[in-house]
Amino acid sequence: MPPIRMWKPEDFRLDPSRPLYEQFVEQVRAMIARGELEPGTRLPSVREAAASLRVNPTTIMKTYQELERPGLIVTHRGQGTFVTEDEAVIGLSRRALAREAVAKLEETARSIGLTLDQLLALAREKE
Amino acid sequence: MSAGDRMRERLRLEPADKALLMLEWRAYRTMLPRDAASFAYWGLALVALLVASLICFGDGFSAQSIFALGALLVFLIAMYTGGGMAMTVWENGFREWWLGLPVPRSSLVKAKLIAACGIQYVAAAGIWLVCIGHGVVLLAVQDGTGKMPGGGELAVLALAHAPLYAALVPLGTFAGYSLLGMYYGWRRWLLVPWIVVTILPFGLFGLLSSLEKAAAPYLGAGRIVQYAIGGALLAAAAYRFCLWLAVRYGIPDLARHRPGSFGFGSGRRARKTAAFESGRIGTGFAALYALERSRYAYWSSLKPVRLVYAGFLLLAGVGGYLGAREPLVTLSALRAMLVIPCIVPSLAIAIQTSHDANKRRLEWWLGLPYPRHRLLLARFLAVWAFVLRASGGLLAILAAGFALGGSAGLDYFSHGGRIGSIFYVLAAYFLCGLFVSAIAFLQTCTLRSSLLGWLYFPVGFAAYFLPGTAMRWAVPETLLGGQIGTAYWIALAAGAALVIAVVPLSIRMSAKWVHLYVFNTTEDRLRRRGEQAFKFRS
Amino acid sequence: MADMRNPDFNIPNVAAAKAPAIRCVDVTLRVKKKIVLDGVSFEIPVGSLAGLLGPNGAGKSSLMRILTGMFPPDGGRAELFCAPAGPERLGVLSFLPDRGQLPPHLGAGEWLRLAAGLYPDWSEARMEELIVKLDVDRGQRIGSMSRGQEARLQLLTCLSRQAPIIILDEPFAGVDMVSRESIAQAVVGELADGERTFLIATHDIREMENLFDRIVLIGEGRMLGCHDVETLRANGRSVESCYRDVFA
Repeated sequence: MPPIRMWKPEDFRLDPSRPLYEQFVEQVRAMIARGELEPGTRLPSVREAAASLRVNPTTIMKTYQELERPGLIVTHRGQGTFVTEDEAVIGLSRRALAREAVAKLEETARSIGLTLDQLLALAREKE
Repeated sequence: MSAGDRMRERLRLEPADKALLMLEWRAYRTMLPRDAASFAYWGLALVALLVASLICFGDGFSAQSIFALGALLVFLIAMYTGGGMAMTVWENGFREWWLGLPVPRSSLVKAKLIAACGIQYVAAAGIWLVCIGHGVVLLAVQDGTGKMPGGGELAVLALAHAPLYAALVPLGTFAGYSLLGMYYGWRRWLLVPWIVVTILPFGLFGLLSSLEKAAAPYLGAGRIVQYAIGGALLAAAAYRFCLWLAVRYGIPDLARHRPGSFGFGSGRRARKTAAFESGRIGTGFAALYALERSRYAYWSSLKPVRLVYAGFLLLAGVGGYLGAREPLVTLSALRAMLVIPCIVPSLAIAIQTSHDANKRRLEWWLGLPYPRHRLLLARFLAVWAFVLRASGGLLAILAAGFALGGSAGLDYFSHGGRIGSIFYVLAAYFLCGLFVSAIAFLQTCTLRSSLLGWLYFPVGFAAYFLPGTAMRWAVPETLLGGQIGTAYWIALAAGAALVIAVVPLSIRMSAKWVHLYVFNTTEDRLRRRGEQAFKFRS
Repeated sequence: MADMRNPDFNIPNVAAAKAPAIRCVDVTLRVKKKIVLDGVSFEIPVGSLAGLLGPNGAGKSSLMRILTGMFPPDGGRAELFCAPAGPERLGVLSFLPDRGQLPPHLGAGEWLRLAAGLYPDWSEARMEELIVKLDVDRGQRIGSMSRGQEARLQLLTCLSRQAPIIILDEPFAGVDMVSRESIAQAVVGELADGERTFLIATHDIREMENLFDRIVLIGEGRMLGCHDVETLRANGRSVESCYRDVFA
């Protein structure tokens, strides 16, 4: 059985005025996308994660539910919760993250009256 | 430098000393009569004391012994308050602020001593007035049998006692306060003489109150003045000693002390007590009882306590051995001693719960999933088990000493049912102790309303004197060593029935209101009083 | 559903329509004519971890003492599982009093053995587990413990019971950071089976705000709000900002 990846409070940066589970979902997705959480890594149980992160177990439960929906993590009954080994799912998630980032950037560009390409060109212009 | 200058130099107060004295005095100032209401309270209290003394010592006590009893009372109050104040310093929240004041440590202690003497002088003056009042009343109503002295003699007696009282106040206060230096190290051995000095006057109490009719030469006015001089010299010595002990040892110990931990057994490791070594604690009520018992088990496992107890055992044995020649005197002395086990449980019951509340231990206790009367019952049983065990040991040694002391004593009691009088005395005092400790539970009701408080106050106060005074009536001197008549045994059975009824009743009553202690910690009361004082002023 | 697959997911939904573990309806309390609580009403559902927040002297301890049956309210109802609170209900709750103290003459181990006898719902297994988690030294005399050590022992006593309601009054007062963290961790560990309900009064909002799923705000004896924490966050507010809005 693969080793458990335990979490420490320092692994996450939390903003207390946004729903915590959303922030966990975002940050775990990023961890998986950049390979910090390798496919097949075993995740702590809800109880363990909540205790070590000192957050309400409901928050972790919701986080896991959100991550299970796209199949990024899977739970094998009696064995625990694992990062998926399905590279396709990870690829999809990575692409979704990229799209979200681009969408955000486009919005920024629009707010200063530029298209995305113009924004990038402007930013790369030499002095 | 002249002697006068030197005196003035010595009495001159630095501004800091003055402020310190004000600080200490401020703690007592609220007790002084300062407005109409508090004057009325003081007047009432003095009248109540006078009435009590007239009731207790009205018939046949000489004016001399009244004044002498007053002197004992002055000393005892000064000593116990001094000791009590010294003890509260250890747990006072202000302690570290106090220790951090930038003044010599001797000034810290001096201010405390002087302020304590100040308030004690007020109390002593009250007692002195009550003694005079007692004499005057008896003078007014006496039928000419000549038991009481004339007015002139009374005045001489009163004047002679004034300096004695004045000397006893500082003596008692300093002796009591010297407890400040007796918390750690070898100084704990000083507790043995300290305790002896605090208990000794009770013995004198018995002696003086049995000097009923005759005027004793050693209580004459001239002698009293001599005692006063002796007392003043002793007070000066006690002052030196107390200051030295407190400055040299007490304050450094105080700085190291951790509040909440006991002065004794400051070790980090828990000591193993027999109750826990056996491994069986039981569940439910048995565990509750074990919890209550553990505090006595702990205290009696401490070395100084064991030493003191061993000393008492030795005394009991020697006393029994020597007493075998005078069986009646021994029995009479035993009877006088029985007052102590009668009072200890009621003191424990009266103090423990409020002490627990002050220490914030009460809520854990009340939070235990048991009906409150069972909590109280466990407390009651534990203190009695402790007292019975401790006094049983003393009695057994006394009896053994008595048996070894010669056949005269054994022979005396083996005739004519005299052995019965021993059992009668023991049983009567045991019942009396049970009764008094049951009354102590009712103290809880005083928290319910101030009216109940006023009603309870004289009852509770009188209860402490029950074993000392009323038992003289239930167990008269003439009964000792004689055959106990059936009437007395019936009275004893009636007393037992009364106790059986009163104990559960008062436990139930106490259970009803015991939670009110949670609101009535010293802190809460001070806070409320502060709020009130503020309201009055603004 | 995820609940079926992950053994850890057997936590009942907080919003489940169950009877509340704690309910206060219009609770009023007077101490010597001073109004300490004035019409306090709120509900805490089963399985939730609720914070009772408010400045010093707001009446938090008094409210908890009513819930723990120390004394009855002067008006209104305080209920645990739909039956009135009172000393006879002490079996269903485990209470940590504010700045409370255990008998100082006992060793920690002695106290725990007594506690095992005193509390009918004591769990030895849980106690052993918590002794390790909370790092309690059984041989140490309680009177010689630091504030943090004693706070951990007291929490250990509370959590070794199986009572369904746990009420903690200022579990962090005067406790060092490491002890705070292990206390918070132990609380979460106990919560995860979803059957126990916590009500915790604390000033340490930062340490606890990620733990609470519900907060009750009281000030000067009056109810100043009862919020679902996730709803607050969904509206862009944190527990701390909510506290500031109400009290600052």
